[in-house]
Amino acid sequence: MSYINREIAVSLSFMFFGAAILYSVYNINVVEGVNAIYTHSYIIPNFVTAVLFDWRGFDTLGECLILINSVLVTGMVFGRGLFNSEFLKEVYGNQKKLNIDEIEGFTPIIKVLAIPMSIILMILGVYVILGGHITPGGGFQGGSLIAASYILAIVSFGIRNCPINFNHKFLETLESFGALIFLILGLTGIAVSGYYLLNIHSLFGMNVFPSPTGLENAGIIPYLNTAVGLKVLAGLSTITTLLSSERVIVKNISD
Amino acid sequence: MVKIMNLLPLIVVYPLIMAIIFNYIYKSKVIRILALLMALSLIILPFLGSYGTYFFGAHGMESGLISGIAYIFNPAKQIIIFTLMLIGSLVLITGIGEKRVNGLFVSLLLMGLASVSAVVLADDLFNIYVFYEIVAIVQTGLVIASGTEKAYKSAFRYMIMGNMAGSLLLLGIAFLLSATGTLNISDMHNYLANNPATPTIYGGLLMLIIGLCYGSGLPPFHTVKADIYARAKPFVASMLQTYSKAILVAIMLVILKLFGGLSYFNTAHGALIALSIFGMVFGVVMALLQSDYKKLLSYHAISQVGYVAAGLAIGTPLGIVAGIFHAINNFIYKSALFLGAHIVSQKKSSNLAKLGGLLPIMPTVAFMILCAKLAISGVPPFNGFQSKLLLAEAAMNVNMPELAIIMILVSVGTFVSMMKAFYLIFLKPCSEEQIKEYKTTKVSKYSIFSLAVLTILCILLGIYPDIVINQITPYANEIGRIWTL
Repeated sequence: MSYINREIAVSLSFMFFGAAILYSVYNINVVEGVNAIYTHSYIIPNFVTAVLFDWRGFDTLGECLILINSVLVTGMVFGRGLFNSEFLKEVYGNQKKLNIDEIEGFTPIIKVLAIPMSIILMILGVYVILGGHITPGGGFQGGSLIAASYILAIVSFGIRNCPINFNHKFLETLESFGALIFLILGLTGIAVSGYYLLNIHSLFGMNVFPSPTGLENAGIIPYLNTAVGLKVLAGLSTITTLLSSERVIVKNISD
Repeated sequence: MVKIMNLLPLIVVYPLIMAIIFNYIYKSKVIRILALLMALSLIILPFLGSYGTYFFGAHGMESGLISGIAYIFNPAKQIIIFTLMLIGSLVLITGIGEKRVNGLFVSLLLMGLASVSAVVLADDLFNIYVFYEIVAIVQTGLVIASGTEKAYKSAFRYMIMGNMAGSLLLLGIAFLLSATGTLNISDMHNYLANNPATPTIYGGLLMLIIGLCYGSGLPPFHTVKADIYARAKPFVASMLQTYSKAILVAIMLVILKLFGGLSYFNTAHGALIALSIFGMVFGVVMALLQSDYKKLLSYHAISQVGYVAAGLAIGTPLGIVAGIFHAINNFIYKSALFLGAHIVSQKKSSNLAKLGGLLPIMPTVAFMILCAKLAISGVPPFNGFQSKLLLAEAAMNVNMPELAIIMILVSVGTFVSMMKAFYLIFLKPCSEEQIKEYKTTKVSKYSIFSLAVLTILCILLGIYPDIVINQITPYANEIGRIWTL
């Protein structure tokens, strides 16, 4: 009986809350405000990237760090750097043979199709990252595309026989490197003018952040995009490796 | 170019850079030395910035609105961040004494410190949201670091709740953005003050309060929050509760700054005060029932959150001063208590039934823990007394004697359960074998050092509360609104 009462209470509160949210959404009347400034001042052709990496670059840095943190904590869940790994040993220590790594993957048809697909995806990802400031796209999208191609390969071949082989250490390095580039590019802004993440076009008349001739001179934005791309691809791939392989846990708890 | 550079962003950026480096070298042998250096350098950070508004990427005022992300730095924020960094470095120093300390723990701790400082400094709602999310993930990670099954479970529960509360907070910020057209808090307040209220703004306020409750552990999130404090290692829990309280202060000040003085804020005002009373009372009642020292302290942390929230929710200048001052005192004595629990559990365990007779073994530690216990219950020569007095005064000034009475009653409850724990740990007679066992187990010097620093601060702030109050008062006068019931 008390069980039913609880259900009723939960559904009632859910309904009230949902109704409140819907009422608010129904009455939305958008004020243009600061958006007018963003759409009327030209920085680079892709206005979304301009907001993400120029007007609100520091928020993007925070978003990157959310991803980094998630990767750190995922690693921790799988036994990296715990104060006490008794519990994980209890769960994983007794298994004599870890069979999950031995799965052979899917049928040849999928394998044959997966490799060209993932190579194309990877190229598309690189293109999306590098052209983030002039075409739709950017570091997050491109990085996710590359990670998706890696996930596709892992799913179809299994982690042992995967033809695209990213070493765990390599991914870790790539991720730290990407985040550090972002943070340190921001620091150059402080060194030049005192403003963090200032978009530097030229320093003493010299173009310090060159971009291909004939395209926009977008300052540090393409570089920030590349850093974010590296970090996102490495982060998502690391999580995939962790989730698809028990070897990591066994290695983590053995030392 | 010639003027002195404003290094304010370094408060956030420097720990982040170091966190990434620590994560990269997480198994290296020099971690301990580097962590010690890091702990020392953290304390300098709050003095790098200069007061005033700081614009990221030089995107300042354009056609009447602040276009980019702005940070506001003033003495009140400086002293909050200083206390935060001090506790952070003491926890790092305690961590050095741990057997299996590694770069990952240091890295998560630094990320948390940087993000909480960002939440305190930011004058921009979306930036607050981003760093608020980082703190939620960091707290999960720090709980999992203790590696027990219960820690995994409570961290997972906290994470699921965090997903919900975080997305609701984001939705609320989206509502406020759509209704006012800006994310900057000062601009948003100007807009809200000059335009009529819409249901969207009410929705935004509701979601902000939900985010506040999750971030700080007010009801209805008090059980998950108390659970993660109890399951983490005690010295890590002292960091976790410091994060939560700093977020409480930051977001509460944001809400007051946005809606303070508006006619429709009165109801929300009442709701906030009610939430804080629930927090106080639930926390202390649950604490009286506990038989585990860590759990007891965790529920007290919730009850103290209620005090801080009550002071800030009153919203008069005196209330805000009292709230922030109590939060700072709380950082100090609650961390001292958790470090004490760390030392006690190193000796034997944190189960109160198994402990006893520790007083002759470590009299100095017992004295320091007693000081912290007296401080949390609000006994005169310590800092807790000064801020609780101010809180009660603030409640009386707005004609709410009932609030002051509840505060005093909760204080009595705190005193009772704290003295019970002190008796069970230090005074209860115990067998000869247990005393022998106590003598063989060693306690790390680092944690005793950290505890001593915090105890000295407790007494110092108890005798000279003006050091802190004078710093906070100008900011409180700026935000607070005088009213009476």
